[in-house]
Amino acid sequence: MMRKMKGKTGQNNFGTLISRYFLLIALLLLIAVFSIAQPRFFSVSNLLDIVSSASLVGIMALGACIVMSVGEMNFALGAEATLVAGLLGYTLQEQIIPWYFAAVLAALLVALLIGLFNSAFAVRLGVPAFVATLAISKIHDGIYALISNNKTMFSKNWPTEFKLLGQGYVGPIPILVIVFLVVGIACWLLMDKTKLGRHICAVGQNAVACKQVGISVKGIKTIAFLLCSLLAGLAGILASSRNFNVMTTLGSGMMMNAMSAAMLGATFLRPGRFNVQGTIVAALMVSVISNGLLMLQSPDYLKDIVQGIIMIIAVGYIALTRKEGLPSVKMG
Amino acid sequence: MEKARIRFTKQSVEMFLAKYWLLLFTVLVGIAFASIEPRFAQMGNLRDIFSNMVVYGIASLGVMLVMITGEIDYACGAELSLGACLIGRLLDSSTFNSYPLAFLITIAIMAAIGALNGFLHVKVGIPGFIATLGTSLLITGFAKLLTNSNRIFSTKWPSNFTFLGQGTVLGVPMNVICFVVIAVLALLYTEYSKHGKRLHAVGSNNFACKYVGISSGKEKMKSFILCSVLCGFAGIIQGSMLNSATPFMGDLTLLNALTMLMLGATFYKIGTFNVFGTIVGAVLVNMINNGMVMVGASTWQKYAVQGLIMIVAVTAVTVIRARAAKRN
Repeated sequence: MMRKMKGKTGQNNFGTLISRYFLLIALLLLIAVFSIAQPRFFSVSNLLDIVSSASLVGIMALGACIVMSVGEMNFALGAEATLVAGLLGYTLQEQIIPWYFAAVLAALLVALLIGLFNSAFAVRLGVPAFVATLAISKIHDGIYALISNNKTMFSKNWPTEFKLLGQGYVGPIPILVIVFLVVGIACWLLMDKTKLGRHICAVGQNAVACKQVGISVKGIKTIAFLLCSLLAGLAGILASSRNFNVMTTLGSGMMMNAMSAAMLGATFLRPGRFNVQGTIVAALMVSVISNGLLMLQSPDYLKDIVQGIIMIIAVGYIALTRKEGLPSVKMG
Repeated sequence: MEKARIRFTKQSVEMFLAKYWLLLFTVLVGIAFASIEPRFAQMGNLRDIFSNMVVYGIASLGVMLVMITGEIDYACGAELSLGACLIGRLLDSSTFNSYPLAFLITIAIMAAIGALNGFLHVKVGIPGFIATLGTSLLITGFAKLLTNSNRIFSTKWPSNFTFLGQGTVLGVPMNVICFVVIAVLALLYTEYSKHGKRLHAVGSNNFACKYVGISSGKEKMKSFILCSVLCGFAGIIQGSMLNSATPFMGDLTLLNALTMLMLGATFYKIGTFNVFGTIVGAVLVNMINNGMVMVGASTWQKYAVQGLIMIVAVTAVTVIRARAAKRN
């Protein structure tokens, strides 16, 4: 099947440039509009606030980006974040592991196990990933409700380092942003500079061809699910540190933003393909929109409508320019 | 003589179990709950189970039409909420007080939303799941706009507002009648008409359809519209049952509908989504939800059981289909 590709190279360099960097231009425009409408928006403290929430959404979105790159879907991102943060809070509360960073490592290990569980269903058994992860997310909710009594988790036993990752600063820069940068660069190196990253993208583009040239499709997909859960768990841990509590809605509140960031990101740089750079820019954009609308004191329905419209335009653009761009979610 | 007698060979028993295990399981679950908590089997509670089944049952029949074509309508929950909010808001004015007209307007708007979903998938080419993910945000925003993100309730609502949800005709609850009528229509549509054959054809082989002259786009469009209308209708009934509407009332629709459908696909016509299976699945899911409350299960147990049933059902469907594919 040959699909007519829209020739882009060399035709109109300026137009290509605009369409490749449209997301960045839109981001700058949005910042300008919000700053004019509400001068407080452009204050240093508010900008830092935006970058901090973008870090949380962005880390989760990078997970979504990786798993969507292999043509799968993880709909348990939010529940995973809540569960991992909840487990961290629980181990510190009951003093099973009294040292914060050791507990973080243990929680991230659990996140990997969760990823393995997801991939057992979605990859090994071949259950449609969306339905499988939706069901698994309910089980996560159950486990979280068990350890937290279905309440917001907070404990006096939590050490002061609990706040460090989410609220600490190195000089003027929040640690959260540094973590985001490190994770972002690591993901970029992984996806763009290593063989594994190339394989991840290749599996998403054409799994059958990958099998024929000897790439283990199942293995690559499993790795993608593991990385995705690890990043979702990390996002959950950082969010719990920022709020200094664990709410039942901690992850579910971030998931939609993260999903749209990953999809929006696919309009950037390499239109039609999920990529790390685009996801990071899109995470900033999603945060700018939520923060800006809040600053303008607009009613909450506007946020949903704006987000919906942006998402439809973004994916519509990809679908129209590049037919094979988005992974379709096969329902059995 | 030999032929007339039904022979209980090992194979026929196995076939029977494979086909009807869900019904047997449902009965067993019912007996188990009834023996733990006798109040479960009382007439009033059983009637409760059936009338609670109606809302998600109708929605899941709508989602089924989309699922048969191989797509999914993520926005079903938002559509359900919007149906309830729309009719509630329409009737909340001093000048406009005609329930049938408000009903028709709501259904028409739901059809338009279904057409938007279909347009984004069929014409623009966005995968159905992602397109409806986007529209679900839009629809939720619209429902929040209508209700100011609150529960709405109005004294201006006419008395027949609660008829669909709470009224009875000859002792049978009206909502159950609605469900039965829709189930029969859905059965006729999917199993006993040309449309149904086309629907299944689109789901099983999109490319072959092109060669035999079935327009898969048209079938998918129809499915998306019908799904949105049915979800909106389910919302109207839910609003009528509760005598109020919120933009969040549909939040659990997708999860429930998918569970019912996946369970249903293991029953009767194994491996395909079908009306009978979906109804049995709906009874089972509601029985479990109701029974868990009856025996005083805690939140985590409810979540865990919901998740486990769904993952078991979807895994069973996958394994059944993989085996069938291997045999062919």
